[in-house]
Amino acid sequence: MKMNNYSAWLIGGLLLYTGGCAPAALEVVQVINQPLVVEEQLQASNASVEAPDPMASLTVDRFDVDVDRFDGGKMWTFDNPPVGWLAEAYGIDADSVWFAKARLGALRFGVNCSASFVSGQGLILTNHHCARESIVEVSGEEEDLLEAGFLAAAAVDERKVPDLYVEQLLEISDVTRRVHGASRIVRGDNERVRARRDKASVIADELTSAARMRDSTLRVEVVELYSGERYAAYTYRRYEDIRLVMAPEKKLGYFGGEEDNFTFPRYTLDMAFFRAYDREGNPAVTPEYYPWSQDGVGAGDAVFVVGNPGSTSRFGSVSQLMFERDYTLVQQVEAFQRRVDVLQSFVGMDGPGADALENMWFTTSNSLKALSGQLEGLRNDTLIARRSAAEFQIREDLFQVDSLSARYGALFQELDEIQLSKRAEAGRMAAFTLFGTTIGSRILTRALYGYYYANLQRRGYVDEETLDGIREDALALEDVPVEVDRALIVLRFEELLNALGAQDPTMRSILEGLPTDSLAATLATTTALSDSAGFAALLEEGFLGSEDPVVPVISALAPLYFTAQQQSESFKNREDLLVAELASLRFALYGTDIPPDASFSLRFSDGRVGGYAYNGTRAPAFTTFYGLYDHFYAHRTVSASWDLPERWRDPPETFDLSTPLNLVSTNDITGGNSGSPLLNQNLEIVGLVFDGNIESLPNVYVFSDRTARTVSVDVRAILASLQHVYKAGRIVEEILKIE
Amino acid sequence: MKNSSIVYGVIGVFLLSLPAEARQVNPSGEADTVIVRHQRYLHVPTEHMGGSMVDGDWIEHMRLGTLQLPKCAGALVSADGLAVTSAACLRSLESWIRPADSAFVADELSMEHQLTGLKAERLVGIRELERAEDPVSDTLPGTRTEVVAAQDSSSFREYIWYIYEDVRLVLIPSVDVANFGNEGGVYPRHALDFAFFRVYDERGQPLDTESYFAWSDRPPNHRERLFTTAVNENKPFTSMSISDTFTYNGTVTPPYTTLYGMLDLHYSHGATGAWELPAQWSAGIQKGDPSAALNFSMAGRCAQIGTGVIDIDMEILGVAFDHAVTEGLQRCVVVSTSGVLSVLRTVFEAENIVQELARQARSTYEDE
Repeated sequence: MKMNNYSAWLIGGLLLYTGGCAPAALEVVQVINQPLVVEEQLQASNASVEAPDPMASLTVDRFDVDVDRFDGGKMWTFDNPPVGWLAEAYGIDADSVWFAKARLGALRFGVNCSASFVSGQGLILTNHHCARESIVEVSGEEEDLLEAGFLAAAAVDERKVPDLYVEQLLEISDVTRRVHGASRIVRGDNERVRARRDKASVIADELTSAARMRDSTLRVEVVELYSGERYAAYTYRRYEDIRLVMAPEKKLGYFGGEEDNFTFPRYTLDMAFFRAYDREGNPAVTPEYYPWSQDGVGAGDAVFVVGNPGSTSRFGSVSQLMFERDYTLVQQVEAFQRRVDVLQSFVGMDGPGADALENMWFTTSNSLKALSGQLEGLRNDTLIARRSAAEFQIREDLFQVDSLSARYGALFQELDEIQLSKRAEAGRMAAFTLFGTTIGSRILTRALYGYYYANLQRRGYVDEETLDGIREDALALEDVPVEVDRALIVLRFEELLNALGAQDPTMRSILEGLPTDSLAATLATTTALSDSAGFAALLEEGFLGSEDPVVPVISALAPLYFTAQQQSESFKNREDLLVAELASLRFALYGTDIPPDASFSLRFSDGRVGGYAYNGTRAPAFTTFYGLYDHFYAHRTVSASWDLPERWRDPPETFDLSTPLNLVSTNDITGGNSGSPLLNQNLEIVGLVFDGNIESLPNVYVFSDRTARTVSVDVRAILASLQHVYKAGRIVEEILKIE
Repeated sequence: MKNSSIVYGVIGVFLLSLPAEARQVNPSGEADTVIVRHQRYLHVPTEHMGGSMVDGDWIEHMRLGTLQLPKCAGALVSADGLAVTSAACLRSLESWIRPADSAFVADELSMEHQLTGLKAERLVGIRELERAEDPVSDTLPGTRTEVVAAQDSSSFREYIWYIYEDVRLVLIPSVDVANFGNEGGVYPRHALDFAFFRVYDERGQPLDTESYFAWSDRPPNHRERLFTTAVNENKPFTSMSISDTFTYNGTVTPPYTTLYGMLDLHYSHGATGAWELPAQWSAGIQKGDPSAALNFSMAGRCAQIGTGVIDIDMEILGVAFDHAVTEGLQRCVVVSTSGVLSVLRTVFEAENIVQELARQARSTYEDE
């Protein structure tokens, strides 16, 4: 589902892989990003809960662990490239020319993926899962290109994807001084942050105008690094005519399905080719592309990822982590688990809404896997101990410097106190986990939209354009079968009862003494909101004034929800400020030796190809096409996730099945890195990043390369399949520069 | 997929007459002297058996098709005394004299290699006693007996084992394929851990028996009920388990692995170290059917290493060769008869064994 900027907001924490760069269908979208201001004042939260000793319950303490230099990760910026580190770790003499080459071949692909140029004629390589939406969009009425795959036989057959663009980072300049200048005289933390961001936006507009005088394809973004301690102006060239060149069948691009997501060993051809065209409609001239490595890499070789990682949770306080471990993640995991249980009984049904149901089920089970992996990581005391040791070190260092201790001395305590307040509210908040998202009852989500829309309209807060955007998003929600909706409404009512209690006045007014399932049945069968068309009509007529039975329900629930949202936003705003302060403190202590957290801007990450210990044995650094066939034959009696299309079942004799298919390396990646090139030290492309292994999920909290790995498609597999299965001679000649 | 509930239970131990072979060597013994009770039918809960019913003959066949080796079991797979077990069961013998790691293939009977000192035993009779001092079966030549007290010590049982002292090696793969990957305790797995031996009678002839399991060339079905028999300390039993899949490593295990996976690991690990296949294996596997099932796993621990894994129709689908623990779950790892058959044909080129197995099989894979 495509969401407008007005209301699309990915739930924090799900950005990792699931939202950040998974297929569009796998996004969990929170439909409304701004809480409605609730008239009644919020009660100040009661912080009477006893302060927990963060270390008290741990079986491993901070004295047992070593803080690694790279616990915060290795997502280096191009502003401050790791010249010394590359020399030290790999003996590579990487000068500014080398880094410029590494930077210029890389692309930001659409709004959540990465990609690269692989020929001088604008040929782009990215993941199949990043291309899914585009493949569907360019399919003709009688075509199912997602299923069948696509190959443009000639340049004229390449199909333009509406609204798709890619961006190449051309220049970087430091604008910290200008941005900070604007906030020097501003009092108040909130105000200062706002002043900086406003200034950054003004500078971006100004620089964009100037750049466009030179070249109308240029635009400038001001990127905030180290939570605002540094600001850099990034000049991008945007290519807006992007055409699909080649995509394998979904069975190859998504081989192993939802089950194998986050898994290695893996056998997936998660690739797609596009081409950038210039404004005259000619293939773009792109001399900065990465040459194709025919030899690939071997175990132990140094490799580099250049891409656009989203963000991590590596830089907050230990108390925040523990809140996440004990509340946020637990609530999310439980909420997703309950939805998996409900949806599982319906999956596989036919008829209207079946596709939307399947998408919801995939998103739900995939999110559950990701969040469970993160929770498991946080429940490993070693991880918390490592973060504690690092935090302790910061506190020690802080008190060595008077000016710092004066400014930041109370920082950790404030963060700890906010967690206590959050704990006090957590039970009530749990009632609304996943409320108003694409995971759950369509009827209730549409009702929430209707309520929000009507209130904004009534109060006249927003312009017509914004209202149109919200309406468009609301109507984009696809219908699911009504019996599924009914089961999801029951689930939500049960969750509300659990969190609020049966005597809660809101619950009593909603249920009016009815059991949850009979109210759900009534709603599901009598409301106009069970299908998109009915909802559209009702929005037109005026939702809140209608007789629809869901109106009283949402009118009772929405104020509670928006109050909870407002409370949680207020905690979040305060925490964001404090975490930004913490970043400033870190920056004051350690400078740019430590890369800043990721920000969906271009980063460089180093690592090595290598297997690891898993499942009582050792995962190899590479898999081969033999493994593809192993999984196809082994699973086929039970699951369709490893199925192969006809043309793959009997590969030609020329196809060497021992060709490496996927490989793993120790690079630091996160959601947004999908589609990134994996490069060797000559800056030739050797792989295409598409996932992290299951062991990498806790890397969102502490970077580790012990068993966490980046998973890539080997370029040798891409080449061999183009040559022997897809007979894509035109692409092969182009990437190998055969005249 | 959620893990299936583990079904692993003892379904029966039962008592029967001495088999024909035992009677032959005991001309003076009356069969009825050792029959104390004959439970004709054993009803197993239908939800466990998919509605099948197992009777006393079935149980007897399970027991007589099973051989006891030191710390291991084996299963008879032909009417001429050919039996299969885990390779480790034979190679760990003190009398093992072959070069430690190599393969051995006897192309004909005369080349079968006697494993000196190895005895294979078969449980041929069970007698109930009122007092522990009552055993009489010691007098039967070629047997040994064990007397075991019932749990409440109010009664005793005498187990009568027939001992075969002439056991010969027929075929064993080299250690590098039997222990492929050195992945002890792991599933999913890709190991050809099997060996064939033959039981000879006291006249030096291959054992003539009707109690063997026909060799199957199919992999197990998903969630199929399978059976193993062991003599486990002093309680012989038939146990039932199911072949199924379970979650691990963020994904779900396949119902079985295939020979393709062996090739994948060989090349993935750079054709070196623990996953290196011997010369000719890669080509040999591909000449046959690389999609043939190689290993599968069953819920619970193995009844015994080397034991045959038998379906309801008395066909053998595999040989249990390792216990595994994956993410806290106990599994029994089994080498599939289907993969064994494929490599017998195209890697070992052991056509004599293939033909011998095929003669007994209900299916007609020998015609392929």
